[in-house]
Amino acid sequence: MSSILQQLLNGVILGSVYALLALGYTMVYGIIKLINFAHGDVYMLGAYFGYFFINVLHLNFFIALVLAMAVSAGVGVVIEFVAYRPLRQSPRIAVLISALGVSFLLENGMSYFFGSDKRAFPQAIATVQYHFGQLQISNIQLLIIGTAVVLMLGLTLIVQKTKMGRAMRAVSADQEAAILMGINVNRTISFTFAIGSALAAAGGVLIGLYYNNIDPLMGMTPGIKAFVAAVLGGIGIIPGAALGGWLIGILETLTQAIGLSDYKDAVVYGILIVILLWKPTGILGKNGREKV
Amino acid sequence: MKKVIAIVAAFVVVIGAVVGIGMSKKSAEKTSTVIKIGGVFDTSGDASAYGEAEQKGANFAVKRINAAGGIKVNGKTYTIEMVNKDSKSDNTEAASVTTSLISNNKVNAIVGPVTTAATQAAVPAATKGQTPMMSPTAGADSITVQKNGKVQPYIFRAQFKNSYLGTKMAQFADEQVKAKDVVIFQDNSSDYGTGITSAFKKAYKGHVVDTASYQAGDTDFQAMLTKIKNQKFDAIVINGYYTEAGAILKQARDMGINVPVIGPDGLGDPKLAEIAGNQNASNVYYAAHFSTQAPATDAATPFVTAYKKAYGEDPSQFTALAYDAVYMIKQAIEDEKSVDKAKITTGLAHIKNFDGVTGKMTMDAFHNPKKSIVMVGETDGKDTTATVVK
Amino acid sequence: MDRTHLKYTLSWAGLVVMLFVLIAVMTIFDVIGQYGMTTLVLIGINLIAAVGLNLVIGMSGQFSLGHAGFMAVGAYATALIASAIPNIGGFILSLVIGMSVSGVVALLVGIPTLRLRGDYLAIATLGVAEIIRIVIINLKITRGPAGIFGIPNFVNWQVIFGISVIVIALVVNFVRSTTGQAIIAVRDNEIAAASLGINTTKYKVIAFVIGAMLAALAGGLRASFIQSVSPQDYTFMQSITILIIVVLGGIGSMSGTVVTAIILGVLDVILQNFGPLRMVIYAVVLIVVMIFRPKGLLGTSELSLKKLLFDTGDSHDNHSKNA
Repeated sequence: MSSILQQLLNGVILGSVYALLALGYTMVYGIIKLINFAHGDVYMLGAYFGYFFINVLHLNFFIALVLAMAVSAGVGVVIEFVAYRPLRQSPRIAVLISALGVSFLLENGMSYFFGSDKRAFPQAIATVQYHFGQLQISNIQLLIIGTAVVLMLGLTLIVQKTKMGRAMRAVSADQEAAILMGINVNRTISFTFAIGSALAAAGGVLIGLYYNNIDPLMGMTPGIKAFVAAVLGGIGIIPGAALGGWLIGILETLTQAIGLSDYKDAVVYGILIVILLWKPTGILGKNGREKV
Repeated sequence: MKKVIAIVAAFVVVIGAVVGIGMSKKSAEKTSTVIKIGGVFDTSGDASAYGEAEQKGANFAVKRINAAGGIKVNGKTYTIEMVNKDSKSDNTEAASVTTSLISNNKVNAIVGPVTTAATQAAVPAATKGQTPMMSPTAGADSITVQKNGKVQPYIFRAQFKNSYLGTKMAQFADEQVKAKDVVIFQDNSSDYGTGITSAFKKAYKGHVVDTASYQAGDTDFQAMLTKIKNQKFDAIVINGYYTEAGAILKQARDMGINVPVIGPDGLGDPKLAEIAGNQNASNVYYAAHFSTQAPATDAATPFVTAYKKAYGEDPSQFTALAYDAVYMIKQAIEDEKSVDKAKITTGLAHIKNFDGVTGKMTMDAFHNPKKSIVMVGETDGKDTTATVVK
Repeated sequence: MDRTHLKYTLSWAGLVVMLFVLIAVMTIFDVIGQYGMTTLVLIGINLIAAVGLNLVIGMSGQFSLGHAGFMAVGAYATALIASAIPNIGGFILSLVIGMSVSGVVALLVGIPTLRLRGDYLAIATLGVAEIIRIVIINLKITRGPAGIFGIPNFVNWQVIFGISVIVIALVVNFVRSTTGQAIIAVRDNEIAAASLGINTTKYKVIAFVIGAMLAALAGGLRASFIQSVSPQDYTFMQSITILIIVVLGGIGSMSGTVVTAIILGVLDVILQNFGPLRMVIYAVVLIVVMIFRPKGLLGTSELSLKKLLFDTGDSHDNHSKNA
């Protein structure tokens, strides 16, 4: 029994990072209908920025975390401006290919300039294990869950309560109507990329600290899984991304716990397909009528 | 209609030009004093960390050979030129790059590819081009053997074959660690992981409690470790590379699992201790090709010193194997007194008591080097013990 | 009409013959060498897979991110069957079986997902391709991650050239047929097509199944040519490679696909000398091309011999080349 609880806890920790990444996917998809393949690589960049701030500038972990989020937010805005904005009126698949190009560029550029080998992430916070009965959790694991929850609540506040959040929701619902209402669409989209990238960077820095290693390709697999999480929860829906992330994390953990580690990714994709067939818009998705 | 005629006329001219180029090319052959060695290494994509380490090793070997005056054959002095091409961690690309090195760069021999699957894909190209190819690290037993059970004439390796590694690791677990029960973690995305696991299971006398698989690139092992934590076992065997092994080690130790960890040569990289954290990299044993603790030959220590001086870092097992691959080619050229591809192939097949960095090697009938395995023990991230497994 | 049609067909045939003679002369006089040969064959194989994918994307407006999965099915079918029956009959049988299995899988995936609009096909195919790969890694018969080697080779450049020409001819004819026109109607306006009584899902599924079968064909040919297969050959990146050919060439434009497959193949050869910098350059090229030609090199239009050679003024297809 205790081991099942422990496995659930493991799943939630793993899922928290997927959730942070999935939020970025879902916001971007919600607003410009783009599967932003470069998102996982922004997560990687965030980890490298964190590495740089801690290892080279010797900053405090939390300052490094915030700075990495800020710099990555800037990178996200630049990526959108250079590679996606010129394609606003083009077929959606052109933007998708451009996103793939950005992803290749970040992965291979980082490998080229900084080497493709793994780097050990500086252990800015010493690991302390806490025991609650049979359950075991470390301070870093608590930090991951805590940061993820705080950031998600913050995001919800921004989207629900601020003017910019309202603009985001408006652009996502109907871009043309939003323009007519005097909303600056470009600025709103930039803002969305900034927020999404900052969340991804937070995930990257936390993962760096937790697993103690980073490399230029670290964003590939989590990127795809986070996208799956976003679809599972209902793409375009912010609570859905969080739910999807945690679900995927728990699923992956439980598959391994019952001894199916050979098939852990296959199970995740299998469930994705089943859910899509049963409810194409995702778990929290609304079934909207198609409009002409 | 005019356009049609124009196109046909243009076509005839192009064909004429092609024929002309073809005729003139025939007379362009000339002799030179350069031996070209092709390098097929993955310097981008999933396997690039290993590919880069091997490329450095091969380049370093070439640099040292040339600095020492090159290779003397029949009174003529040859220098070596290394032609490296990136196989992108893509097997088709490995085959295509191998063909390119043979037919366009006219290399005398090839070092690479890095992985078993890429080597398998490159075998037909090397065989067709009758060019000797030495993979530093392809482990699958099958790569040097044809379907009909005969040896692949042009394919060699510097690495132990997987079954040999797995068997020796099992012997070490039985005799030295005296482990009665083990848990195995295997990298399920490469033959390296699964091949060693199956050989280990065959040879191991104790009981395998559980086998957990992971994919290259995985970072989270909490679920697997939680699952095994309350079971009884005396050792963990990690059949994979240092990247994931480092993460497993860290997470296991954090969780309070302190049993010995045994692994193949894939764990032999200074990064293992960096990723795991020095305090966690204790009670770890990996199969090594070379160790400064117990240098197998006189070549090992000078190599490590010189490499550190040149690159400012410790060489990994991958680097050392690629380095030896180049030196074996040099040895073959000197033994056969010829830079001819067929002669190099014969020379490689007859390598005997070669003093490499990774041990004293003799090629067996199936082009696998026979050398002893040293199990290196780490304490606090430092190599502290070395046990030769006979 | 029939006579002019014959004229175009003949001029295309003439072009194909010229190309064939050109390559033949180049090999006889050893201008391109063994490596040139290999490159040509690999371009041809990518071409066959890309033509299939273009049919799916271009004709149905939905995109697939799992082409590699279908290629893997074909590749492993050839690896297993052609190894067991090492003659030309066994090879052809293996291609047929690979294509059939792949078609059935596509049918199973396509029927439920193609009812939906949006990116569901992309997501479902992504999942299916990954599942196929993971199953291959774990099955005994496919020999796990090491894969299968020593597959007999029945493929040379003539075979690939022939098959490419046949595939392109068949696909172009399919597009121009009544069924093909129905599919295009679906792409252009699904609701209008449905209201005219066209069974949209049926045609999308047909396009998807053909695409998957061509992918399997390409996979089988490649397995035989490279003489080995392994699961790493058919990852997400392989799907992306093919997708990029289609999008850069212009979605819906078969000639665009052909031209891009060749250009990218040649670009790859040139970039090979740049070592690790190659993928960086490749990425930049990708972004730049998309920004300046978002509809691909040829957009939706086709290279028209009619315009090029006979220039009669009235265009066969209504799309203009102003992408």
